[in-house]
Amino acid sequence: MRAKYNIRWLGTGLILLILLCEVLPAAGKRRKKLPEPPKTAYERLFADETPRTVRGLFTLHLLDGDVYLEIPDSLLGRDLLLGVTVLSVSDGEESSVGMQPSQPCHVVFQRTDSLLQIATIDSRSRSDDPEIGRALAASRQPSVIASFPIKAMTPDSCGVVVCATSFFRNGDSYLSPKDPQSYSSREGLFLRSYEYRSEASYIRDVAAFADNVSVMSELSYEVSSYAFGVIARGDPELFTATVRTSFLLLPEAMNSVRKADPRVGTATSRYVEYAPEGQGAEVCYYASRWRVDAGHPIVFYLDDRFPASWKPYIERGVLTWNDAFAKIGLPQAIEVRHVSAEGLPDVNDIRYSAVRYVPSPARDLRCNVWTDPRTGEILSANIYISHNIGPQIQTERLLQSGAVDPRARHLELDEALFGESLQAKVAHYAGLCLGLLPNGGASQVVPVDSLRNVHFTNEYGLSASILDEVPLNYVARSEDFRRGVRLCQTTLGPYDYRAVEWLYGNGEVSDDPSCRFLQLRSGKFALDPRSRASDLGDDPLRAAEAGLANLDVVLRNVSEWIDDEDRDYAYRSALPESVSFYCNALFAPVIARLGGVLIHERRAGDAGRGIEPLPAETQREAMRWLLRQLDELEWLDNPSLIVGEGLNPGVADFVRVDIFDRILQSLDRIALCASLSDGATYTRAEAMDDLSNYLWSRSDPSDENFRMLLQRRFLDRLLALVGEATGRKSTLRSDYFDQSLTADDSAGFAPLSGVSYLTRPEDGHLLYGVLLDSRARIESAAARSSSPQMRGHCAWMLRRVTHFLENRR
Amino acid sequence: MASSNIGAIYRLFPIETFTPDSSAVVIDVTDLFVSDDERLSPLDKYSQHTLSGRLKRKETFEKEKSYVTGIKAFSDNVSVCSSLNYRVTISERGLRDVPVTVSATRSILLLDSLPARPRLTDSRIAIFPTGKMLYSPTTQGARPVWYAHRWRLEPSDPEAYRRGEVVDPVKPIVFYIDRNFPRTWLPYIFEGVNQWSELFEEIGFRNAVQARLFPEDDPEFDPDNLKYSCVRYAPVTIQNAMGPSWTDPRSGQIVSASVYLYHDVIELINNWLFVQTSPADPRVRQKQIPQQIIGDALRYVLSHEIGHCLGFMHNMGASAVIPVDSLRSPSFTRQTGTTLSIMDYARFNYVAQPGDFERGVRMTPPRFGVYDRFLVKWNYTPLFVESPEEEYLLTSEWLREASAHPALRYGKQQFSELLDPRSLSEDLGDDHVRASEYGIANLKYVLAHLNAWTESDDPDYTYRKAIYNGIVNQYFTYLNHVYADVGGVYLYEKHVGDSVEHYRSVPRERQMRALEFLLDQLDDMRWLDDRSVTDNLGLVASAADAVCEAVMKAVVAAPSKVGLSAALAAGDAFTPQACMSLIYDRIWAPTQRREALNLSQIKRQRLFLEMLGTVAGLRAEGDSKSLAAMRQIEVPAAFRADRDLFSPASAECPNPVAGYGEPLPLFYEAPPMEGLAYDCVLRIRRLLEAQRNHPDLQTRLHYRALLHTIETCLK
Repeated sequence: MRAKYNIRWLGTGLILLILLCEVLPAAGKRRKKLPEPPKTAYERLFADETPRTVRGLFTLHLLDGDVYLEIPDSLLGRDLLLGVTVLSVSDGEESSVGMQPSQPCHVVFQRTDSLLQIATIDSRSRSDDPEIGRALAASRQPSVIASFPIKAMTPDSCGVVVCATSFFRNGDSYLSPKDPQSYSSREGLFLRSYEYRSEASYIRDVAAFADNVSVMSELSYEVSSYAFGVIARGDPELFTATVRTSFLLLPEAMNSVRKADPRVGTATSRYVEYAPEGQGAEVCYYASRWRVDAGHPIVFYLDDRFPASWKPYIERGVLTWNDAFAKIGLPQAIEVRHVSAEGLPDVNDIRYSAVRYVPSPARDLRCNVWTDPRTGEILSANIYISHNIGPQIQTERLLQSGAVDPRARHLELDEALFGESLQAKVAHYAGLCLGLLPNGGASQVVPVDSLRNVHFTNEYGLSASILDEVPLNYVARSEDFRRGVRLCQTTLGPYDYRAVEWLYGNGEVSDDPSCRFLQLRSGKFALDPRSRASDLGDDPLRAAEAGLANLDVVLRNVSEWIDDEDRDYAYRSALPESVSFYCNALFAPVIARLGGVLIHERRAGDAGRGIEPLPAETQREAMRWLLRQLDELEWLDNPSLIVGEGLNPGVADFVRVDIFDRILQSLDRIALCASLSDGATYTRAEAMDDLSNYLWSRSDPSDENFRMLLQRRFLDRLLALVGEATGRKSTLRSDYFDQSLTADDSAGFAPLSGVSYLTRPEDGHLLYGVLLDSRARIESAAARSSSPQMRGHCAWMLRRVTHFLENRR
Repeated sequence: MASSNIGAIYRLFPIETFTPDSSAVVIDVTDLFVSDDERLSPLDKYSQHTLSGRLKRKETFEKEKSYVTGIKAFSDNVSVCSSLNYRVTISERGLRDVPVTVSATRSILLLDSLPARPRLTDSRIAIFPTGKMLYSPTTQGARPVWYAHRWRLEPSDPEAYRRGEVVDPVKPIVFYIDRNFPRTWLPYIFEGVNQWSELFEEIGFRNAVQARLFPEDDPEFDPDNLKYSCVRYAPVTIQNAMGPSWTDPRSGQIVSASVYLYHDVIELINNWLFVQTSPADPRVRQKQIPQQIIGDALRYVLSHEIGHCLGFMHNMGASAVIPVDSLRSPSFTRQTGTTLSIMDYARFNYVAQPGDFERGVRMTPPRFGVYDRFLVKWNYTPLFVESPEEEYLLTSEWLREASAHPALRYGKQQFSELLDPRSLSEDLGDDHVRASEYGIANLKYVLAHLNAWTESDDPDYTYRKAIYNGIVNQYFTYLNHVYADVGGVYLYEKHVGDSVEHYRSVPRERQMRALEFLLDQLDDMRWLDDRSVTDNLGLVASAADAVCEAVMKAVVAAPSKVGLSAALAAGDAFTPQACMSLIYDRIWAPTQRREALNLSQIKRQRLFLEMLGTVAGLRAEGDSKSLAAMRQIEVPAAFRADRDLFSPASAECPNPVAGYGEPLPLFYEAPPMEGLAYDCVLRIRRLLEAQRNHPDLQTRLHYRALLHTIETCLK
């Protein structure tokens, strides 16, 4: 009986099973139509849109103004250089193409579980010692400068994606194209303030290459300009710049690093070295330089957009330096290549160095250099040439060489003449791109007379280095030019060869005086009268005389030369300004001798002294010469200049007053120089006495107005100085004496920033004596004078002096 | 009492939930450890960038870039490590929004449930105190008491200890030494710690103070954890060391104490040795000082810091007991060194003269002085009595006995006003004029030989620049020591029965001698302007002129300064009038003698008049108040080297009443100086009127200019 039931169950089971098998697959088919698995965060990033994507060092996406970075894990912690360059501007006077708003910095990407961060690495401290090295690593964590929440993992799970728009589009200073040296700031006279306009800024494009990526942002600002920091000039203006932010993968750190030597002018990176045996950490400097050897030349690409006639000269300018490399066994170390018809390589790839064309009204060249902060290795460099270099060269040719060179007497220069000047300028900047600094002292190595010598100028040029800013040969006369004297330095000088030998070869520092390096300083610590831009020859007095004589010839003839080309006087309306700048440049090295201090870069064992105040007699001679010149500049009031912009009665008085003012400004420096000397010095009091003597000596009655102008300025200053020394509240500002005493350690590479142990000069009683003597001189001038205006002026001055001496208000 | 001391709430946290077994609450403390809480700020108030706190710094915390990086928990402490991001602005240095990321560990330590028994202390001994107010039912009125800062050091075997045996402590004081120190420094660091065991052995403890390297096999060890006392290395170019310590506020027990040595402390030591001892010790006449000398100096620096970690303050009076000429005695210096306590700020033997090293004179402080022994004995000898008060009966008696011995007296560090010339920093010996004479002679010797000694090692002159500035600073230091005698008042913390007097004015002859010394120096500063050295150090004007101006300021302020000591003098006081007379006669003697003046004399007369005019309230500018109250020659701020080595172990000393605080003259009306100054101005005017036609041009112009200045002032 049991067996029968079992079979029945079995049968039913089987039928059920068969039925089930029919049903189940059907159910399975239905299940396949259920919704798909959810999208990953990555897939959801861009919804259904397609961003612009570029792949390279890492991947970037640009969509609707937002930029996304895909950072693979393999890139975390790797050394990168972050740099910002201005690519284009809406107003060439406001900022400059090629400018770098901030120093490139060493960064890494790092990650937590939910954040991706950009952090800067401080490579300014190092040690070869393992213990100290560990301590440094623990003390020098990367500093986070940006932090982004991770939006998704990359599909291969080996990276993360973040939205990084805020880093490339903001009003922060590291991106701001505000250029402190822009033309619109008129050398700091006008303060500009930038207000970022987020609503008018956006991310324009992205680019990626094998070892670098860039994000191009258009940043907009409202720019307000203030004279003297407070007075608004006009309405705020709109300004936009395209700014490129790039990440560059740093190569393997260069092994052969060169420790800098202050006697050779190289760009430097500063770091602190900790050694266990040392008794104090040591501040050291690397010299910046390219990694260049036989197989790896330094390559500059030439921008295709340059006018065709410019290109050969630019190329020659860059390749000038091969002469120096050839001497150290690296011929053809520099190569110039042309950008191909397809536009390769892409100028956005910052690994390529280039000479680039800037179609802006700026009249100068610029360069920037990217160096590896760990070693000082130069990774790439760019020279920017603005379109209006043309007019700049033309004006230089006319004013500096028009007296001797007929070819310079046109507004459109012939190609060879223009090209020669362009080549010279490019050669100068190419040197800067090699890691060399401007050498302000090179032109004053050349004896002034040699500038008129055919053999000398053709053999050696005009300056011991093309790294000085070398003007045209304004000392040469017509007959010199006819005999073949050179007017333009396009070749390297002895210093240039030695510098390349030292930096790229095995050269030693030279003690040959013609190879001296003098740092070109600016501002109040530009104390060395030998280190100047735009000067020639070792005797600035005679050089200036020659230049002024030539300028006189130019002004007398310029109308005749360019009337045909300048029918509407447009060129001549801008000429007074150029002429006054040029005069400034001729007088400046002489004025620099007042209170001049020779600053030698020296090491222990070198000859000479580090600091050498200029001898009193040299300063006196300069002062006497300047005061004589003040009365010999009437020729500047040439009719050709009077047809200028505005109504200029004359340029001469403007220049004379300017010179006098700058002499007054030198008083501070003269006092500083005296404080640095022992023994007989040229003092502030003696300088004031020289001026007093000049101002009240017999003079041409027709020059009275001018004299009165200067006398008033002089008296203001004298009374202020004596007042300060005898108990009145001081109204004077001093560049040196106002600072609190400092004993800082600026020496060698660090810029001079203070004077140690400086106290106010003990010359109050001597200045008082000058005041008494001046009073006597004013009295006798009044007696001598036949003009009621002059007598009245003298009486007025006497009254001021008497009131001061008697302490009356 | 309890309701007056309920404790201030630091933070409130909402309870999120309870632990599974309901025995504990759970709170979210992220905000505590990743926040802008100033009390937990990881940024150093006295950082290098702010020039030790002199410059203002603005910090902005960036919460979105900060986060917790790690947590640890142990039986008696927990720690949380956070990465904190700030943007720092120090406008005076041109630093704007500089990103700073700090990884900080915060620890929470469990204190002993039963606090240690406190040891009562008072202001007669150089031991850090924690102040309390004692409310006792047995006395009328609450009174302040102080608990000494000390480690809990107990004998492991009290019976053996009481029998007079040397025993191990229950818990030795262990300092863990950073493995990252430059290897050459390590042996001296170990020594600087371990040497203190010698003094503890004298009171019966064996190996009480120990140095050990950071253990590598202990998972619990973390040098950032407050629980461990460490000696750590900071690779920063600060020329200093510091030693913060943390005490149990209930008892004064030191729970944790650490020392930080910044890398350039070694440069500081090098410069001290060179500037102070190179004339006498030929071995240090070079940039790289021999390892054994500088290593020993490093040991000294560290042992001083460890002293702070053990609860000891500075005793600035320890060097003032030694007769100056004993510092030139081979036997004395070998036995006693330069000071009676390494808790003094006595650097090296600047009194020893050329030739003294060869005679056997020692140039360094001792390993320990007699006062250090006293400190250890006083603070750490176990006393087997019933209560702190009973202990205090014994220890107070020790102090009373000690007061009879000058070597065991305490000279309090003076932070603001320098009243007591005995308790100065960096001075040696019992006679400042004599010691400074020796010291200055040495400085002249160093400067004269500086080029010769360092030419071969110092190609870029950076070393010579540091030494030159060191010489100028040291010169200021010596002058300041002498100036402290002018208007000085000796001070002692005294209890009834002690063999000292509360105060005593410096005797008149001594004050006059000091003032005359300074006036003589004004004529003898040209040696500082050695162009063969300074011409290579960048732009250097005249240190002589700079020092002269500073000293003149101090000299003219002297009459006001002596007012207090004159008022406190029992008899034969050096009065403001006498002081002014002395100065006046000196400065105007050449005029009275109708001489033609040189530029230095002109300068001094001009400065005298200028400053007098300020004090007399005649000049518009200048700060007459500060001048009148100036008690030390002001070293112009910009070249004051940061010599605050060894900032005290506890950050702020509680300053309850009198004893520990600064001496404050109460009921003292400073004599008005205006009258005296004005009288001088009139006298000068009469003097100059008589000579306005002096035959020498420069002198004549000078007198006329001064007369003009006087007229301007009087208007």
